[in-house]
Amino acid sequence: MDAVTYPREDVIRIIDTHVVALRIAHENEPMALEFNVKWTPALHLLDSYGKRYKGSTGFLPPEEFIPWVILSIGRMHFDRNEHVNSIAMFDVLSTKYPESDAASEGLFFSAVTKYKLSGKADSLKEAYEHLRASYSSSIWSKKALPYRLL
Amino acid sequence: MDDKIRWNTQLDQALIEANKFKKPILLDFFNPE
Repeated sequence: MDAVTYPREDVIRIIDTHVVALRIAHENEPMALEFNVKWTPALHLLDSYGKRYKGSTGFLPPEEFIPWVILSIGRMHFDRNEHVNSIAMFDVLSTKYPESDAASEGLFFSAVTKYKLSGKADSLKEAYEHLRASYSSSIWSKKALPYRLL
Repeated sequence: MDDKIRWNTQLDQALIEANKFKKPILLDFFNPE
């Protein structure tokens, strides 16, 4: 991460804009024990109270790291029922990083969030069709399978 | 914008900053070796 991902200007910008960066050595106790760190790099997205929302183990190149950060922030907002904020992050993901591995998960949760807001199932069925067409091998395409029946 | 990432090294310090700026925290456990 230090050699490839973190020096990149777009990575620095996304961190500077969206998160507070915290770096802890993997053997640091009690935090490593609390977060069950067994391999590095181990990334976690926490809210401003320290509650963990999403994690990733292993190297992420810049083109996957940036979407992962955006997805994680969206998932945090989703879990906190901050639906407008979550949709905003998922929209950034689908617009700017549709080729990333994070894009299909963002598409799935964007549709779920829109369903929660509207009560209408159209977004779920549309997400299934979009996932099937663009991300057919993604696990999120498989998770959306039931929505084809809506 | 800084020319490199400004890492906090203490959770307490990061929480204070996160609350101040209403931002989440990106925590990176790394291998310093």
